[in-house]
Amino acid sequence: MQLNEWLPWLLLLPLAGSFFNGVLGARLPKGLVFFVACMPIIVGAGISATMAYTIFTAPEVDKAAIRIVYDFGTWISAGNLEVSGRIAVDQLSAIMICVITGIGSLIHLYSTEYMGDDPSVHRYFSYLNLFVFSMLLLVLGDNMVLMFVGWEGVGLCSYLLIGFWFSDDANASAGKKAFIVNRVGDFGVIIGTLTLFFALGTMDFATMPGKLQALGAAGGTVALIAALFLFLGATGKSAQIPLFIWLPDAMAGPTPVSALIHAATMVTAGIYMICRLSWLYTAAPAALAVVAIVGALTALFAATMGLMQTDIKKVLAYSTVSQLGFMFLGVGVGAFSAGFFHVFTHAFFKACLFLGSGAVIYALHHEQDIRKMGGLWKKLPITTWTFVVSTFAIMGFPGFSGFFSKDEIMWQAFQSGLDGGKLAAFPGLNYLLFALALAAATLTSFYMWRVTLLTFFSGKYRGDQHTFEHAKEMPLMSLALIVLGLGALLTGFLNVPHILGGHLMLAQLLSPVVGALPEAHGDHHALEIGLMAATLVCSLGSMVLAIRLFGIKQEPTQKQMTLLQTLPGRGFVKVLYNKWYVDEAYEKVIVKPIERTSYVFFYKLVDQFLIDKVMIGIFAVPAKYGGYLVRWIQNGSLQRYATVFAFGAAAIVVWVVLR
Amino acid sequence: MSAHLLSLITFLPLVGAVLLMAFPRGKAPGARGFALFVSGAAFVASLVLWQRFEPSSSALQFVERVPWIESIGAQYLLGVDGISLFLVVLTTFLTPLVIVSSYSAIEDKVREYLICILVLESAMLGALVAQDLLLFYVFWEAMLIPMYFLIGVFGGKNKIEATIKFFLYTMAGSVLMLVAILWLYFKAGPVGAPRTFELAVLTKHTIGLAAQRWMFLAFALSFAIKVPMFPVHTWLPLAHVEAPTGGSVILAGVLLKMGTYGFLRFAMPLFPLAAREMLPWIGVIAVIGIVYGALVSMVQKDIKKVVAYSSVSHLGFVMLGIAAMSTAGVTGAVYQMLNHGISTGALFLLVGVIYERRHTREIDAFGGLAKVAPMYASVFLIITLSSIGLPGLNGFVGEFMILAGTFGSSALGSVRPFYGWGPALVTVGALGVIFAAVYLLWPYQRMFFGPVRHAENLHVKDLNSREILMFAPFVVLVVVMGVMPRLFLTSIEPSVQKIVNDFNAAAPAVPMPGTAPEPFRRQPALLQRLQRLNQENQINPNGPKPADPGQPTLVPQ
Repeated sequence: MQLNEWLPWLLLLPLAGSFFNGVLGARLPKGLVFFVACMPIIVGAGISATMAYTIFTAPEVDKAAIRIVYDFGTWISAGNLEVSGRIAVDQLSAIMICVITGIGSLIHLYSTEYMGDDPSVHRYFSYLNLFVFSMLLLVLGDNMVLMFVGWEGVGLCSYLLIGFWFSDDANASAGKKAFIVNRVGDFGVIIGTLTLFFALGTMDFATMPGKLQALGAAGGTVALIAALFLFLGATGKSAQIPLFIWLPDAMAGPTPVSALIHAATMVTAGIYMICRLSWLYTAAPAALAVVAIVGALTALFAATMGLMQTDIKKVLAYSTVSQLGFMFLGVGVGAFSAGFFHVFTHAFFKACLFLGSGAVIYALHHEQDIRKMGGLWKKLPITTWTFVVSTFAIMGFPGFSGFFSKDEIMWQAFQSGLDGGKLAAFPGLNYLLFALALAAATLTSFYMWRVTLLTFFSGKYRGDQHTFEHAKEMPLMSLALIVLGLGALLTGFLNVPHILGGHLMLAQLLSPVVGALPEAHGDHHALEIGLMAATLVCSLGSMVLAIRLFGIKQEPTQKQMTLLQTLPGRGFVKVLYNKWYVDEAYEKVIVKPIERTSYVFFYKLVDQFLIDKVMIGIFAVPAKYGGYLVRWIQNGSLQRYATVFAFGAAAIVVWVVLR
Repeated sequence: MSAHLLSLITFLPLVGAVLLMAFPRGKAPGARGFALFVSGAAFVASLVLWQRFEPSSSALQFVERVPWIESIGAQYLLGVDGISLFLVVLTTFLTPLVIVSSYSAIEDKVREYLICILVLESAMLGALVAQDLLLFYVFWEAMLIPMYFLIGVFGGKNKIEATIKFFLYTMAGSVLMLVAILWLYFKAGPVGAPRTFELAVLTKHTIGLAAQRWMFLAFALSFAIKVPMFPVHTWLPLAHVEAPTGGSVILAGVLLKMGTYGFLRFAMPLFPLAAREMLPWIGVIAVIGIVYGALVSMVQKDIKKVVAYSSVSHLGFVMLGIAAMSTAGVTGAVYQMLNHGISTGALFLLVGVIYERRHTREIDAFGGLAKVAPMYASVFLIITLSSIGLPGLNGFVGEFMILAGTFGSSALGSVRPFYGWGPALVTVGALGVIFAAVYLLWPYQRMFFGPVRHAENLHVKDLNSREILMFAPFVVLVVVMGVMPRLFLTSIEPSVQKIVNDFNAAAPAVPMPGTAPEPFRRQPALLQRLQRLNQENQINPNGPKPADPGQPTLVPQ
């Protein structure tokens, strides 16, 4: 069996699992449901690893062109429109499928314990398998439309899983919000795709770059328009300004879902898309600048919102938005592999953080408020230490994975404005980007240590003692945490920069797809080291501040506690806690006006008055009064007929005489 | 059998209706079984039609030609091509399911209800296969009568108002169309030959532009009311709300497509010059319909009205594809007609199911139904997602083809990368994609999610086995048509290609003096800009195209 013949199975197995559990799961024993749910993903991880191995160990001469392709045949065709059903693995998708199936397997295993007692667990796994299918399709699709199918598919699964416990209105609303906000983004994807199709005559990833080049100078406009519309889609799926508002609400879903969908995989789809279309964005420097600015702003903005949250998952949610901002900053300065490297490391440490928070929530019987936690390290050691490792990773502590990936992005952001950099056309922009990123990194370190300390340390447990006594860890859940923790610790070494004696291996592996990392002219080693040190000082500083404030062994003072308890109520903190009131603003400025206009103007005024009364009246009223007139004439009374006749005859006589 | 297959399919339901009259009053089960058998037989016959249909041909197939009224040259002329084939199958597919759905919904005057449905089926099938204008007109008007009774006798509490509105609206258009048909009969057609109503003959003999404009308007108004396009759509929500479930299904599923089908089959080919002028305007009205229908749908309190206004939005997409007059756009439009028939037909059936159980359609009267009736909720969700246009289900394929075909439509003067009517219309129309999610998922949430707020809903029964059997074909089709659209597209495309080619040949896609699309003529600055841009962007990846004197381009040579 050829390797590419395994490719359809990678997709079909999770789809079959989803169908099986969705249709029959309710009547089957749970063990079978779990087996059917987990096997496709684990087998898929095996297939993915084999493919990645084949691709990355290919002989040097084949490296640029190697792809594993499978064709399902033409999907849609009419006139000049042809959409193929081709899926392909190249260097970029090879890494993505490994992350999806690898982390996906761990999260499926974790879910068997976390969701094991839920009466609708078959439905949960059916959605989760469907998600893996859609996500794989998103990264495997070899043209814009197939990618979009996956793109919408993951959105659907996100909708279904956020609203999994739909009996609560808030959960259902959160799901709907996610879907609709993403639809705004999808609008951008559709228009961007059609722009490309019209201009280039194709939507295949393989042939589009050449066609764009053939357009010459006109290609720049095409690239700019398409890139910006597509980026709108990316801001939806990857929760960036202005469409980030759905992700915090999405935490209403089960925690493993937050780990898999809203941290490790789906939300990185926007970055994946930009990497996949790196040639397009490279051709439109202005679009790149927009991506970078939005990314950097989001990174900082979301970090400020994360500072004061009291729900453990909300903190992680804002942190995800913020980290996604870093990734966009990376791709926005043309360092596609740097942005993608952060996707990769983030998948491990953020999944680990979310699963860790899930373990806490599970142990504490659905308690999510960090004000009621503390001192859990005694009861939940594995959870604690993997969480701490991941916090070190996300803050960028030297040696941990996040250090390498975040630092690469920050350096690339800075050097993009140097002579020969990608954004050299926008003088001064690189300083702004770097400053925003530095501020975001500083805050990240603070709020992550804040949540870590308040959850696991800060003296003793602050909640109900009975719950604390019964808190325990589960084997499969712990296994997933350990594997992801190791990932958070080690994956950074895949892409060690030259300056630290590495070879940027990941960047080199990806270069056939996304191009080489940009390098500014001249020697900037000292500068690079200096910036690295500055970043480090800032994040270590916030870490120390957090420890001083919240404590490890010693409990926070009474004053600190009151501060913590009453935080959300006061001044600027209230603004931060309420996420700068962005939701409320959208509600007031967009949602309500559309609703009011639709009802009052379109429905009541146009539909019911202008059309039904005025427009119809123009025909109906004359007809009605005409009818009255005719009825008066033809009422059957001889006298009236005679009168009319007499007047008529007299009129004729007068007319004849007077003529 | 092939020779008379179309007549068989068309008149089988009518024969069944006549035989039903012989059934004694009050014998509901027998009448239902018989009607189901007859409509099922018509469905099987239409499957045979599909199976024997030659997909690669664009010509009319299964043609039957018999002189009808010889003194005036009217013929009994039937035929199908790729455009009408699946509409025929859709009609025969929906009718048996409508009859099944009426098993519990209609308990009084069962026989009469079934007679109406079967007569209606014959009339619709006849209108789809008629190739003679007079014959078409007879079937077209014949559709009105059973529908009149379906709403007027079996409808809700405002049924009389709804019936009158429906009837007057449709008649107003039809009368103008009749005048136009008569004008064509007397004024158009080959010189010296006997007069005829035959569509193919009349199409070949184009008339002058001024006359075309009037004739086109007459046809277009009649079809636009049927579609319905903004602003002549207000009969539809009322008719839907008052009609019985089966009536709504047929109304949305097939009857509305008569309008879009009419544009494609009659208005465009008969009056290409006038149509060419008006394409951008049709596109604009279509897009207004998309957005307007969606916004108004969003604020409805009655779930049936939500679905009714959503039809205005969906049919807007179909009209947009037709206005594009490109192969991809029109093929997508035809495909979207089928999709809408299936998904909206199913939605009306689903609304009927809950109405039978709760006797209300107020969205706020429900809540938490997913817990009480999970199977019903799942089917409702799948159909909703199909209607929203989720990729992988049928709605997406049609919508995407329409948008892709419109974006680069030369008939709409699209110029790379983003100029002309095509991109503009698509950009606004695609907003409908966002709104669709709002107007369907919002009511879905209020009906199915959250806690069970009303005690009456605690014991709502889930789908029974009859209903499961009724919805199974819809769910299967929604998936199959989304995953394997080429099963259908390969048969549709050649006929669409022919219509588009004929249209382009009769009215070249150039703003030549006198035939320039109205909006361009009014805005010389825009035209010049377009020409300049076109010049700049004249890059052909396959090398320079040889100049074709028959097809002048936008660039002055």
